[in-house]
Amino acid sequence: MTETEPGRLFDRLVEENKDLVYNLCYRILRNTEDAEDASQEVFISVYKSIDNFRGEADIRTWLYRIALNKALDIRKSKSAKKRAGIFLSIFGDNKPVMRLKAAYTSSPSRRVEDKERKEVLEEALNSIPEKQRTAILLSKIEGMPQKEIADIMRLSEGAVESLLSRAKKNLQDLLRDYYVSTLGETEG
Amino acid sequence: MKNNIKIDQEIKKTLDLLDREDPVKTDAYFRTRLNARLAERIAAKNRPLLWLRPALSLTLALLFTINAITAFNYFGSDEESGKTRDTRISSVAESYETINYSIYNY
Repeated sequence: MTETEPGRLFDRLVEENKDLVYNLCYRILRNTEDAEDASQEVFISVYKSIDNFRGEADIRTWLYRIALNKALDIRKSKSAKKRAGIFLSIFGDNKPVMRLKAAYTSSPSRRVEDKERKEVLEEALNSIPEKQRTAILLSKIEGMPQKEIADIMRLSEGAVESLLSRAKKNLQDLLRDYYVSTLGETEG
Repeated sequence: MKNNIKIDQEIKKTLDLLDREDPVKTDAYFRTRLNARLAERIAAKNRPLLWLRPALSLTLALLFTINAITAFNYFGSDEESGKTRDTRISSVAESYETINYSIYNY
């Protein structure tokens, strides 16, 4: 980039934050190509607005907010099914929008490996409302505090706490349904 | 009861994966690709009428072709038949039975 002051600031922002941005995009999109695409668009947006950035705000929060919006935009445009989920989340539906698919195997003796658990978790995450998923994913990135999540999502801390609580409850319910169907019914 | 314990364990193990996920990192060429995309966007911004070029070229080609055909019909056919422009006009006037008035008629 250029050797001007905004150019140097942009270079520094990219070098210091590219991994943070990419990691957030990847957590939301779960695809390396989409994550790279979103990350690049984030820094192009940053480049366009670098002159307006006065540095008084927390750079990380600012970048995370742009990254979150870009990643969610890509995610929304990817799937009609996910759009339906977003529609429900906008209207405050706390219920998971879909049930997890049937187990890979009905054999209760089969040990569920980490790889399979990851896929199950992924599907469970995709089944909860958008805001809940975003809040819980942000909370798991570098142990992000609720205040920062609230700043990024432009919500109150109380709202974030509520989203996290509902997200955990919904994930547990979905996983319980899944494992009951996979490992067999409970015995009273 | 045994199944309930196993199910609880599986739920816990699955949710624990959220905390155990390693952060992903960009590769060595991320910056190169970003610079290329940025340069492309800046160049595109400096050529605001770029999208017009194909349409403009097509329109100009079409106009040129129409002009060439018209010119050929207008001049080329007279040369071939050896007619002058005046005789051609007169023959057209005669065919439509129009009267060619002139100031010498008065």
